[in-house]
Amino acid sequence: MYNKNFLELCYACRIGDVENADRLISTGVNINTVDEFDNSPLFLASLCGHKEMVQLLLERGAICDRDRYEGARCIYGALTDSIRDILLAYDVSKAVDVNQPFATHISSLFKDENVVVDTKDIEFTSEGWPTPIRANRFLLFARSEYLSRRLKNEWVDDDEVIVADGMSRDVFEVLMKYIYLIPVLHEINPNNYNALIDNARIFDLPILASFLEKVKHMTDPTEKSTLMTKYQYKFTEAARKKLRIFVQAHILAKCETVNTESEDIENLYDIMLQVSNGQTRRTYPCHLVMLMRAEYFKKMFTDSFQERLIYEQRGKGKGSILVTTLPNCQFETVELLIRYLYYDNSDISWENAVEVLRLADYLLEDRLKAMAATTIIQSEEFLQHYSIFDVLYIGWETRMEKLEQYAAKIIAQDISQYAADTELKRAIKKSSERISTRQEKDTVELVDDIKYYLLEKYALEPDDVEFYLEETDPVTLANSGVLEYQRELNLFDGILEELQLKTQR
Amino acid sequence: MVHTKKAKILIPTRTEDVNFSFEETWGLLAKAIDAVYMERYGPFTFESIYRLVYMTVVNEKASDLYTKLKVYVGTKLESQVKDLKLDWSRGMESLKIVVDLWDSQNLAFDLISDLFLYLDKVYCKPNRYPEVFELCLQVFKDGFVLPFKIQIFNAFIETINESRRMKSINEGDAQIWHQIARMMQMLEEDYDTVFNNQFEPFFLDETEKFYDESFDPNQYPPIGCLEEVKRLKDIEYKRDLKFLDSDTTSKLTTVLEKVLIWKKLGSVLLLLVNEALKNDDFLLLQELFDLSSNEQYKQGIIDSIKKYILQDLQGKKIDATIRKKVSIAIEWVSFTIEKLDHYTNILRRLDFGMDKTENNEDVSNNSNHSKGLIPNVSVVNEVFASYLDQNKRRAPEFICFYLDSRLKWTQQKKEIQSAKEDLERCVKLFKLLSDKDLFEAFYRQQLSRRLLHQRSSIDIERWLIKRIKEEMGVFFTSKLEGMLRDIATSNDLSNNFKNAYADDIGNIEYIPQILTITSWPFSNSPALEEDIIFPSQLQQLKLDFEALYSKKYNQRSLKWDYQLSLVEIGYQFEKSYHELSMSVYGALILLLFEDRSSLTTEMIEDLTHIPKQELHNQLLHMASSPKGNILNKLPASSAISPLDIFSINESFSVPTRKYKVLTGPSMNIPSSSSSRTEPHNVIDNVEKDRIAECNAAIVRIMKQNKEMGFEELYKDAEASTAKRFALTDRIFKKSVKSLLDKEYLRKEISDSHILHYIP
Repeated sequence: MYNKNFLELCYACRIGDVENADRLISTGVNINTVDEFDNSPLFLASLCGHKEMVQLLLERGAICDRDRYEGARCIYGALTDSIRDILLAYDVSKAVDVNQPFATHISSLFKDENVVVDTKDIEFTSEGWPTPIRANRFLLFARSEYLSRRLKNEWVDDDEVIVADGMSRDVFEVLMKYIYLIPVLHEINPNNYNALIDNARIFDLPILASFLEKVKHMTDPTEKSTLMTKYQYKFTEAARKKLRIFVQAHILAKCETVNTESEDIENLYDIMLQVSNGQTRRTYPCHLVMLMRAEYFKKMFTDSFQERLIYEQRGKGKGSILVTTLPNCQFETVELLIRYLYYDNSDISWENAVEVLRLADYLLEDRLKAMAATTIIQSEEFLQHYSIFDVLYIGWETRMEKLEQYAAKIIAQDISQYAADTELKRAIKKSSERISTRQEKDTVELVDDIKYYLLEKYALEPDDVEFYLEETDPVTLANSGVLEYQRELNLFDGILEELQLKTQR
Repeated sequence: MVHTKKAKILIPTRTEDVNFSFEETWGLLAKAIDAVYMERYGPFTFESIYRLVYMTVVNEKASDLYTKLKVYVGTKLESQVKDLKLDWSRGMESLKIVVDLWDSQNLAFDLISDLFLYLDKVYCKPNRYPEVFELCLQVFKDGFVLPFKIQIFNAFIETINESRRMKSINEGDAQIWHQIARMMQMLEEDYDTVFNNQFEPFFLDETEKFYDESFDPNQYPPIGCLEEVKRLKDIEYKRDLKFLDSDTTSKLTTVLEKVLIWKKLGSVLLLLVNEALKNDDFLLLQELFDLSSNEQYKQGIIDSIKKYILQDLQGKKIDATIRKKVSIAIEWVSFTIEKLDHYTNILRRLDFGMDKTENNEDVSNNSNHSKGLIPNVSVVNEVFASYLDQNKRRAPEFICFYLDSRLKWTQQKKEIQSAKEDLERCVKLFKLLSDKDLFEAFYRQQLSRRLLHQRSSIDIERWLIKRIKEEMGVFFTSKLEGMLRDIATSNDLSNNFKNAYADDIGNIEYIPQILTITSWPFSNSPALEEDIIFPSQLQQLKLDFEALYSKKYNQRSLKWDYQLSLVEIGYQFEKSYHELSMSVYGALILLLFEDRSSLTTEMIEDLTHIPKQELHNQLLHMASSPKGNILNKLPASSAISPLDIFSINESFSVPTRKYKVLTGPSMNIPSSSSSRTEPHNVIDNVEKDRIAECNAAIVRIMKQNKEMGFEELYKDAEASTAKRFALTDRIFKKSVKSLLDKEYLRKEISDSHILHYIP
């Protein structure tokens, strides 16, 4: 009943035979199913404590969604903290893929609901259409090669395009919705299949065409919906790829050549993002609708400040393009921001992480902040180049509790070494001066966190320590790790005494 | 982790940080704020101001910035207020100016709050300080609204009152009021709003004052007064809805009702209710009822209705001068029934619009009829119940008389039908009695008389008992049903007897009545008078019947109660033929004269063995009745002596063929004459029953609770006996005393208010 290779894979996951598992997976086994006891390969590897195996499975596409039973089971079943950390870290990046926030954002643009500013810059009409269909040029440009050619040539100066007779509005709308990543598959009128397939081919939307070809002959609704789910994923991935290419070729590549003053800026853009790295200045031609994913840009246009006035003037064909400046930072950081806003790219390198964190904080973009913080925590190299106290301070500055706790944990791990570091004393002092956002007064957050992680380091509970205080057997004491814990705690308390801070148990 | 190359790279400092100066930054921000107030902020970029705020916060000057901002917004407001041309004597204009100020300030606050977004997110939210917009509102509240509170409030109420006097609504004015109200709703104060904390109480008070002073009910006739109140209410409601939310509007409606309807209309209402009831004007009644949705008010109307009905009922005087109790009873009951029907019909049509679930007792008691019982009817029932309660001693007896009068002599079908209708109406009345046991006692007494004397149709008796059962429960009718059963059994036996002993019976029409002692209202078992001597034919009959009965029910003992029996004898007097009906003793005496012309008292006693006292009594009545004596007595005196001589008075004659020979007071059957009934006996018996029942209830309760306080026990016992009668203190105390005597209960030694159950 079960695939022989799958059962062998499950066994390899139990014993930790990484090489064999790699070989088995390459034969095309579906790694996201379960054996007769409802165990998935990832769960088995996690439960049996094979860290390398867990990493391999994740690289090969095993799903660990903590919001679902299977994923949660993997995380709670993890034998070691390191495996759990890997799974949790994976879960964060996976969440980006699953939710596809960029796709959601783009979909929301199609309908003109809750718009702060009107950013649509092209209108399609045809004889017999009751209303025109409005769109954003850059999106059409990015999504369809056919449309990009037209936009560059015939339509280059047109605000309004007359669609050829015979194109039904329904068909055109489906195509537009597809471009805007709106899940439309279930609402297609079967009578339109042929016209849609033809036009999808003309518009260079091959995946849509291939889906329609397949679905055309299907009658079984379950089969249909399975296909739709599969294809919706493909559609999103295809769009991400197109946007990546577009951002690279038409935004990032132009940052040094674009001239904000010239009259002939392609009407493909509507806002310029200017940034200086301290020495030189670059200008990225961008699109307000995409930037408005960050709350900062949304607020910028809520009221009639200069930005809005300039933007609206240009919309009427008067004046030059709006240029707005970001705080100084490395160009990589800005580019990362743009990629993130356009297609959810979160590939943050440890070198940029701090700047991304700050920039995201400036723009009030919390999700990017969280990602940058995760990068810092996940990166092995970061601490080789930065002090853990830097992590702590940037955590405070950007109010990322995650980083504060991470720093406390690292300090607890290596308390003997840090005890000698005068920076620890300064950090504790600073912590005591900070306005505590936590409920309890009279506690120093950093001290509490470090003490907590000290206990955790030796897998002890506060009650255990009480218990061991009465234990006399030297072997038991040595094995429990309580002696080590006491030694390190005393060391830490010594520092606190020097600082004349009250110590609480 | 390895920390060999610690802190190799420094966290990059922001290049902008280097020359940060708070004073300078604030100067720029202040200019931007100025521009915002002047609505000339076009030249400013959002970015530049946002950046300034950002820089200030990251350079740890957030709290300074917050303070400065607050002060600055305050200054701005102050200078604007100074320029206002407020003339509070011109209310509406001033309010307009306030609204304009509020609008412009609000707009500025909005913009400022957008510009200071970073401060909100980074400083205010985490530290739980009011966000910038709230801060601005606070400044506005403290700097303008509260200092001018009295003026604003007064202008508001004066303009409203003006509109009230004009009895019109100006749309433009309503718009201004609405905006002022909105403003006060937006300003927070002590976890609520200025509107809720300060304005609303003020406004409600002033409104009450206004209507209190301006409306004088004496200017209008009652009906006109009602119309005017309705009109005022309507206009006010419409006006309020234009500028207040529904919550406050409903509060205002309450105030209006309080002052207009309760305070001003109070006396008029009673008049109107009376008027409506007097004229059967249920539309007016409905209108009065719908005037306010306040429960208390509606209850007040209901109370007025009740009061009126009760007064109407009490207006009926019972004429004590008429000696015939029966006719008073019938008149009174007919009157009450008529009124009950009348008011039920009026109120039935009234829509009370509320669920009144009082009279639960009724619902549980009368499973059949009360399901459709609408609350209106229960109001009527309440009144009548309390009226009946006021006539506690008379009502059960009177109703029984009424029933008796309707039941008697109904043999024909037609009569039965009309009687049933009357009885049905009466059922509605007697089910409202609280002392149902008293009713039962009277009813039983009269039923026994009807049955024994065959005064009514057995069908209708059965029907009425069924109705009583439906209305009051099986508990009341078990004895009544037992009586009917006895009559039926007697008829069967009588038929059997006729068939079996036809020869012995001869020309005597013998109707045996076998009564089960417990069912019938005769307290004493018959005295054993075994040696009474019957004429041989009757004696044979008696023996035959005893034989038949013991053959059929050999377990039962049969005793003869001569006092309950009746004999009819046909006799041809000189002038006319009469059918004489009389007691068994009387008959025995009369039959002696079949073959004797005269007898002395002594001889009669010897021949009949009738107890002496009874014999004298019988003879006295037979020999000296005001209508005519069937026996002659020598010497003719009003005392009986052993040697007096009796003979049949052949010259006896009365107009009717049937003649009833009256018997003495020792006869136990209640006679038809009302003067002979003894309600006091009945009441005494009922009281005994009540004590017994109360005893049973107390024992039941105490068995369960073991220990109880006096008052608590009283309440429980009251509830437990309520179906049958209203428990009085006297009965309860008697009952407790008897239980203490019988050692069912004992008192707590230290506290005599606590009772214990003795198992």
